[in-house]
Amino acid sequence: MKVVTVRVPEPILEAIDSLAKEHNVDRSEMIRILLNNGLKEFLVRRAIERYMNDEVSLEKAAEMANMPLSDFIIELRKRNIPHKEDEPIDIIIQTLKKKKLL
Amino acid sequence: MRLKMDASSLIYAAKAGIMDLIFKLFDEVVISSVVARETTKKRGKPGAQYILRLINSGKLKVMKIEPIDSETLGLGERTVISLAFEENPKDYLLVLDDRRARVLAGSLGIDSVPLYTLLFIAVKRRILDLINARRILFTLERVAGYPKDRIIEISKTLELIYGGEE
Repeated sequence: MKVVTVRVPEPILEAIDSLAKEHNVDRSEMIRILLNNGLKEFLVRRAIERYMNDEVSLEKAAEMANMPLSDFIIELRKRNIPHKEDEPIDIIIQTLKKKKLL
Repeated sequence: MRLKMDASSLIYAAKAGIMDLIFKLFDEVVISSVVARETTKKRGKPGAQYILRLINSGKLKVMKIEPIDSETLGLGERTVISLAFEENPKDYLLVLDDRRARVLAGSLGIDSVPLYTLLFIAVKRRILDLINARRILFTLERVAGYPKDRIIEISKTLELIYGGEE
């Protein structure tokens, strides 16, 4: 592990210390837990945002969130993120007809 | 005809319990080794175990292939599109459940469709009746998060196909 120095506002430090006491860990460990959870959430939110903006596909978004695809799909459902809009059904039907499947 | 699937389609299909239906519709179901790895990553989960059983039993054929280049698609999607280059388009159907992936495949001259269209084929061939097709559709709505208005549209299309109007 590397050592970093960060300036933290007093109320945040008090909240961290309070949580550390509650979880029976020291301040450094509590900060590591919070950083880890915050980073995970940040990555998921960023991935969902780019997926919703149609910048990346579902699988790419899961990769960006650093999550297995099945977990990312569950995460989308939990957050009520709908499946992205598909092309008109007529176009899909034409593709199936072209393949002689309809 | 062979079916080639991406990871999200396979996960949705396994969750919706329609893999047996898919095996009835196609001579062979092919996935890339990347899709196999992605969908069985969580070994403790029932869905991953089920897919692993399908792979081990040979029902799902796994092929190793290099991915196409793309910064906006996942590795699984990129390898499945590569799989499509392997043979004559009339011999396979490519299922990609993400529109961005389908648009990219289309730009490379490869046709692809979303997962729910397999219900259209099943209804057309009378492998599924309308009631069961709709039951599966509502399960897919839950697992894939398809919007309500899309579900209604798909349901109407199923009815037209079942009635021989499409």
